[in-house]
Amino acid sequence: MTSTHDFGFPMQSLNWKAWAPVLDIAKATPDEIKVLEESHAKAKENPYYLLLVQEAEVLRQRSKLFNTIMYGPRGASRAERELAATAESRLNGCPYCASVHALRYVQMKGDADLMQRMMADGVEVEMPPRPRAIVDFSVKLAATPSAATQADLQRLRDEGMQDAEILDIILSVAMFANANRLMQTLGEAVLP
Amino acid sequence: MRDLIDELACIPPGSRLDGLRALRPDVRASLAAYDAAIFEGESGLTSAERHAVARHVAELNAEAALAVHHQARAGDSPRLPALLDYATLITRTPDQATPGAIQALMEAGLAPRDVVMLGQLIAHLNMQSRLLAGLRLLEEAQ
Repeated sequence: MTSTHDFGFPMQSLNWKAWAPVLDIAKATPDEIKVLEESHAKAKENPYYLLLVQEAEVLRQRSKLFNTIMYGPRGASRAERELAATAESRLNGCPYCASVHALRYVQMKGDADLMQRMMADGVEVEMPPRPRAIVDFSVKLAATPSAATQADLQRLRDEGMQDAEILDIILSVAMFANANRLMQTLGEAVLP
Repeated sequence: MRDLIDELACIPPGSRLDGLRALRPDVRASLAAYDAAIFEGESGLTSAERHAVARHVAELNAEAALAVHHQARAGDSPRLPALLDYATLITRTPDQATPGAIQALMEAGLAPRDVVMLGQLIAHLNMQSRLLAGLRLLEEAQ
């Protein structure tokens, strides 16, 4: 799959434009403001959250879920959760998700060279065995229907991953099956 | 604290996988609350429509038990074909979504918040499907 946009998958902050009307922040209720603040530091200025907050309770619960999956106690390192998320986003063709999580992977001490090449050239780029196993498992689990096999799981174990880490990778892939579909179908990434 | 995912993935209480999931109680709690907000919240989408779309997304993901879970409460409506087509697009080829697809939903009578609800529902079922698939692999690998 490729990006719906012609600017590829840049490793930089992108903006996002909604394809449906968003909440006018000036008219937000106190509860809507609270949900936005719980969701993300910059939610009140981001059309993505201003769109989703129109179903505020749904957004509230989704944000809790997202935050605990990606930032809750380990399991897998945060870098490896971000690697799984970025690989899936790259495959699904979501430039916004891919850019945010590529940058976060690097921030979490991930392999910056690997991520630059993956963003530029896709999930098949050369990489060491452990990230290779994580990326392969993630993109196969991400397929519709899911295509991951016991052999794919075994490769994670062969790299020394414990079940609690593997579960976190599964949760990250599941969460981004959700996130990609919201981000790339309710609007589009735009270059700043 | 057993949840829908444990039931659909056939994870027995006290099992290894139950113990593994219990290390992240916030995940179980949030998954349940998100599910409740989608299916029990008041919406311009009827309950029957939401369960019918959910069943369809589960079927696209070959998650039979998840589809059956929604079967009893699924129902028809004049705009259901449009909702199901949209769900297929978003599930299978999210990279082919367009503003026109959203416009078509609004012309079928969905308000912006209903478009959001539909999007969240489809995203949620896709998430549950991959979680179930992954848990089955962990279960089989014992």
